[in-house]
Amino acid sequence: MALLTADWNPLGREAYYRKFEVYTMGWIDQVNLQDLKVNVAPSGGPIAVVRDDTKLTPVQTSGKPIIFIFSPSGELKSTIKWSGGKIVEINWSSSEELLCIQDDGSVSAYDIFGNYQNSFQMGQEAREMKIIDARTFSSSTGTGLVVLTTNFRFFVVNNIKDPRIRRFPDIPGVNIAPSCWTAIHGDDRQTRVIVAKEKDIYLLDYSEQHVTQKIPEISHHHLSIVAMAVSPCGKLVALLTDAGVIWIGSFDFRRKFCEHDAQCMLPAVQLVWCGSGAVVLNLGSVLLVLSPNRDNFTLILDSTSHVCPEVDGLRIITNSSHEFLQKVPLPNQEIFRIGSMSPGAILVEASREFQKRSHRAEEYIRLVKNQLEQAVIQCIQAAGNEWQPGVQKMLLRAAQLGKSFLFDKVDSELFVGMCQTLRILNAVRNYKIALPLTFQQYEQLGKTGLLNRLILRRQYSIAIQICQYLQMSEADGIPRVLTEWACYKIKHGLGKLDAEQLASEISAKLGTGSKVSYSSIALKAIECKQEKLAIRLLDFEHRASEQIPLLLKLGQEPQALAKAVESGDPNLIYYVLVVMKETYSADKFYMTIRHYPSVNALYAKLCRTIQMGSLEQIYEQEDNFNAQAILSVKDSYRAQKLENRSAMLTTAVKQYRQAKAEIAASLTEDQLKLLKSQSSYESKFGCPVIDVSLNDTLKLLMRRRDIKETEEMVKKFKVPERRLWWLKVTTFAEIGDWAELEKLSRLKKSPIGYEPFVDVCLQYNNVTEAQRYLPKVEEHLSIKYYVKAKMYTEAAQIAFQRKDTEALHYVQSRCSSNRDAVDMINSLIAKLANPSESQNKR
Amino acid sequence: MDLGNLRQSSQFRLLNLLTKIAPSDVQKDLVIHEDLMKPIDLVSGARLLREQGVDKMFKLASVAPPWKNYIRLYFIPSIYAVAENVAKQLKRHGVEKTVSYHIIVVPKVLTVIHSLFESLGVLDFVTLHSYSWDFIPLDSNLLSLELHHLFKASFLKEENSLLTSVAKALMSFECLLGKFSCVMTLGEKSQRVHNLLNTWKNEIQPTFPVETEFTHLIMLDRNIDFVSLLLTQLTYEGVLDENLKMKSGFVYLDANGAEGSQRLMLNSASDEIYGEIKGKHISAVFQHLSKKAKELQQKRDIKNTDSIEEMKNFVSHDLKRIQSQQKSLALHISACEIVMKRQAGILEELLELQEDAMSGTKMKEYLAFLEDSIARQFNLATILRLCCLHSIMEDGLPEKEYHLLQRQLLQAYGYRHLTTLHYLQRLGLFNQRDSKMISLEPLLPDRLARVAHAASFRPERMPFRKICQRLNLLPLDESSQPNPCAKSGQHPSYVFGGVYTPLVYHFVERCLKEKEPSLGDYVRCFGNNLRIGDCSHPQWGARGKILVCFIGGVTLAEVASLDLLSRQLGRQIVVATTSTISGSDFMESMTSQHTDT
Repeated sequence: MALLTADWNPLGREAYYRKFEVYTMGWIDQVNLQDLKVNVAPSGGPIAVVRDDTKLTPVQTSGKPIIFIFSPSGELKSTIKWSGGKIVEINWSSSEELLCIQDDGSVSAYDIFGNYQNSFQMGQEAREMKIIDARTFSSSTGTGLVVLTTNFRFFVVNNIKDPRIRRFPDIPGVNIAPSCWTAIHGDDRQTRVIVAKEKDIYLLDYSEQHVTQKIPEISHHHLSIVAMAVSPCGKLVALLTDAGVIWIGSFDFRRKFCEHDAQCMLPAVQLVWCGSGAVVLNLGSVLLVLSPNRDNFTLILDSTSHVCPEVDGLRIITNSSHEFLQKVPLPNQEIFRIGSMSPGAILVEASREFQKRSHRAEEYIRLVKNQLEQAVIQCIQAAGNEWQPGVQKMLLRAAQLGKSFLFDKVDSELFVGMCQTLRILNAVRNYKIALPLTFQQYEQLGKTGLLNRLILRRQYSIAIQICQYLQMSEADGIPRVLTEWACYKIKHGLGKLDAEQLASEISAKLGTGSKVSYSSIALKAIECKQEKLAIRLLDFEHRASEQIPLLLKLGQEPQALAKAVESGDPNLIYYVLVVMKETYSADKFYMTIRHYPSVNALYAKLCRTIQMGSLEQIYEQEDNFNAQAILSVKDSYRAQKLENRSAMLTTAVKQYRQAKAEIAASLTEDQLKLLKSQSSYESKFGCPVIDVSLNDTLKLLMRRRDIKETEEMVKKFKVPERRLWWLKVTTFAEIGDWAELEKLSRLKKSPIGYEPFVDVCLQYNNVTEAQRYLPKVEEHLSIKYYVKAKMYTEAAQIAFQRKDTEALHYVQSRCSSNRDAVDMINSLIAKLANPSESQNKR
Repeated sequence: MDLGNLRQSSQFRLLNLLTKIAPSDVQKDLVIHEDLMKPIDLVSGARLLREQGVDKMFKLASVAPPWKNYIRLYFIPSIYAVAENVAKQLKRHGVEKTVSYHIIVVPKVLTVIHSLFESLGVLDFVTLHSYSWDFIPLDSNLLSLELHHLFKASFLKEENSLLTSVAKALMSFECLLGKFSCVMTLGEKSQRVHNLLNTWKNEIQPTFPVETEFTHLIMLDRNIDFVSLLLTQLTYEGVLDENLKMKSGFVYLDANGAEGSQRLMLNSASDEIYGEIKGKHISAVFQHLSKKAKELQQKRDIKNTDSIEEMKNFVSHDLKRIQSQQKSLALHISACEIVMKRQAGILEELLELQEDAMSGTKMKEYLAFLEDSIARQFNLATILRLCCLHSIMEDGLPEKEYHLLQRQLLQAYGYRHLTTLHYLQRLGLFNQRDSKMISLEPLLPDRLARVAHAASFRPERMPFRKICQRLNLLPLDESSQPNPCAKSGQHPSYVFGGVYTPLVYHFVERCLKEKEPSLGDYVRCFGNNLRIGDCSHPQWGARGKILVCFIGGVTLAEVASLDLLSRQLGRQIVVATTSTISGSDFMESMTSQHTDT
């Protein structure tokens, strides 16, 4: 217990600060921070150092600076031999890209391994006027950047991934360089710059384009402000004057919390916040920690140091070690503070006794029985905040002991989750991986954030193990890591391995049919100008919708088409067709698609609906005369003028002949003939005739009693006799020309029988006319027709004569409403029955 | 099994889409294409749409409706011409900053449609969405996708984009009701759908429920058995469909289907009487109805004399039921009346002719009748059905007859129908004997491909009569006497008056034979078109439920025959189809002039 509180420093009454070593630096004896400009990436990120050209050092190499990138444990990761212009500032972005800001406003980004990523410019004015200073800040969307030009103007980019440059309003007052400044990005998503010019402090707000002067109340005499820092929570601000006085106040500079004479006359190295509870003044090898209540203590370090603020504390980098300074978190403080009687502390004590197999464990448990739940939670939380696995274990054991008394009252998720998290954290904190994340930082970063960090460090193996351990979903789990690995492989296999080898190596690792997105790997290959590899890789992609656009991008249209056909998705086929149509010559296009019948059909539809290319062209290409003919016929119906229509039909006839479809050809010829006659009738009769059928045309002629013309048409179209009779019979009845009908019946024996004559007469309710033809009706139908004509008596008589009792019943059933007829038929039936009876008797 | 789940899943997706477009408290206008009105009604109902903030609903017309709200939705099928109409409408209307248009395309936004909107430059204020419903339950044993244009697109134009929707619907069926372990497909399109289904399952790897009720999936193409489509259906539901045109489970008793006319919902779940008579032979229906009427009358009469207590009970429970039954009884009787009136005189003649065509006797009279009816200009659809039936059963007509009929048909009904005849020829419905291969596939361009196609898919297509004989589908052949069971409903051929057993009945029956399907005859008849799934699967013998899926439509007579089979086997058979279809429907779509939509 005593050991744990040994490195605690009290700050005021309530708070304690502790400093512990994270790593012993691997760079020990090789690096002297005194001569170097150091920049540390937030959340346990890497360290970039470059020679500080403001300090005098013996020149070792030629003028161009070299940027060294170290891991947090001081292992050299890479070097960048700088060949560009003068570097104003190097800084890390939140996604661990090293931004090198040159004095002409160009910003280049490098990854941890010193590989160039991309660059952007800070605009015209920055380029012309040159930059003298730059600061990054973390914004809601990523990392932002503010630069200061030689004419003392600020330019801001809120997200370096999407650089849109905005200018801040000018600083008022005399045109001299600001003595210090800082950029902040508030919760309202606005970026502001606080700038001090000698004694004056201004707040620049670009969204409102206005400047407010702030006048902090500083009682010590001073000439200028030399450093300032805003707390992570954004509510407090600390200033350092040239007289070595630290002022802490509220963000709006209205309230003063304290003023402390730090008596530091040498130019201060750094003024930063450690969490939101204390300001740290870095004086090289001495750190002054000062709370807003003016409580303070000093820490002596073994060498010159560089400090880097984190959300929950402060990282201290020295020549020999990497340390972390933080306010002792509340649960830990409660448990480990000397003489603490908090439930957690007692539970830990109980657990200790329990380990010793002492009965006192029970007494302790009884002591906190009522607050056991709180105690367990305290222990779990405290375990998360501890760096040493031994201490973590001790606290978790205590929690476990407490938990066993609570049965199901406490949520086991909390305990299990903490165990899992600690396992991961301890793994990544290993100095080889060197990702010194505190629990709070991990919470902020999240699982995916952690994976991103590991991928950036090319720690694919552990990333996959973590995915498996956490059972992460497929979207951001193992497949993603594998994809990233493959992309890395491609990028770095360039020139070393041939495409075939690389592809098989990648597929061997990734397997087929998994959820890995081969298309995104292929995209990477395309970026690296490895087209052959990309094509090879796309073979493994089983989602056609991903595969095809890339194949098209690679100019592999035939392959894309084949895949699209395989997938059976017409949308994809359309897509390929449209692209092919644009890039291919017509001949080549048709030659390619002809191998796929289904594509042809789709293309035909496409042509039909949006006339993208003409159908005739395909059919011509294929000598498909039949289809051409059908098309011509269809087109003919769209033609407005008769001449056009006839012309198209004539073409159709020719095409049918070529297709050896003689019937269709002759039928179409007939159609032409009919059209011709119809058009002449149309002008003659002055009524629309075109497009009615031949039958209707004939009827029309008969209706007009144009016998000569009718005869001619009949001859011309070889209308069969039966049909002509049918037409005549129906038409004559329709126009009520009964005389003509009778003439027809006498002309010769009707080929269609006389039943139709009766039918049409009855249809127009002309019973008298019907009677004329009834006797001529065929024998076996006559009864039925008499009934149809409602001549029941006659029908019954015929039936009687034929001695057909069944027929008599039939007639009777049809005339049931007619009493007389029924009676009559009854007597007939009886008659019919009696003679037979009498015959039998005989 | 709960087929209602399918409806809920479609409904859920629709409502989700609507809320994605705008939250339910924002009022919106909705324009809906005629074809989609009924299915959408079945999927969600107007009330639910109103709950999602749909304020005004209009039918899609050539001009924009009188808008009321600022969010405007269109509901259209993925038909190019329709989309074009809408796009032009919007372009004319022009841009208003406050208004946003959303176009929901069923079943999906095709690239052509997207590019159309793009090219007209309206995508700035128009958003395109895809929506596809799952199988819509029309009856307790009938599911439909209501994609009526699928037959023409897939079978006539070989344009298979809509098959993806079928595969999609089958996949969500599996996701909801369990995975099929045994799959059999008969026909090229079915096979394609099955392949798509498998591809997606590999790609998406969805999770299926552990317990499956449906074990068998049997898929057929419509063009395997055209005879069932051409013959006159004689079950009650079939007759209603042929004469009154069932639309998404509804028929209108007025021929024009005008607004407010009497309509009949054909769903045995909600209409007890319909459930009793739907599969009955039409000649038995009227009898049944009159018996039912008497029964109802009796029930009412008896109840009138009971004590007050029972009277109260009767009024609160039975009366309602009796009243609703009475109402539906009246509707059915009037439907019967209309149908009888329409078919008076023709039906008997027609049935006789069909019998002749099926048995292949009295061919001379048959042709003479056809000629006469053409001369008298009978209903074209009916005539064409008879022509096609004849052609199929005789494996094409002799050259002379074929030419004669063609000439007669065109002279009587107009030369426009040359394309109709082309279509029928392409479908293999109306051919000249021995000339098939030359003229059949005008859309298959490459000679090589054609040869390959012919080699793989029809290694010598068997004449349909031979198929019938081999599979024993013609009950008339067994005995020259009309089958006594024909009307009683014991033999599946009753649905066609005893002249033909639907092929699907026979196929499904064979597929479900104990242990292993005995499909040797089918292999001989259809060759490569038949695919049988993994026979060694332990589920083959299982007596699970069966889904029979038709690509290109199913006739209600076939459904009735499967219903009979299901009763005979004691296993539930559910029919899923891309749409319901009847012979008259089919012929009308062939003869209509707007064939390119």
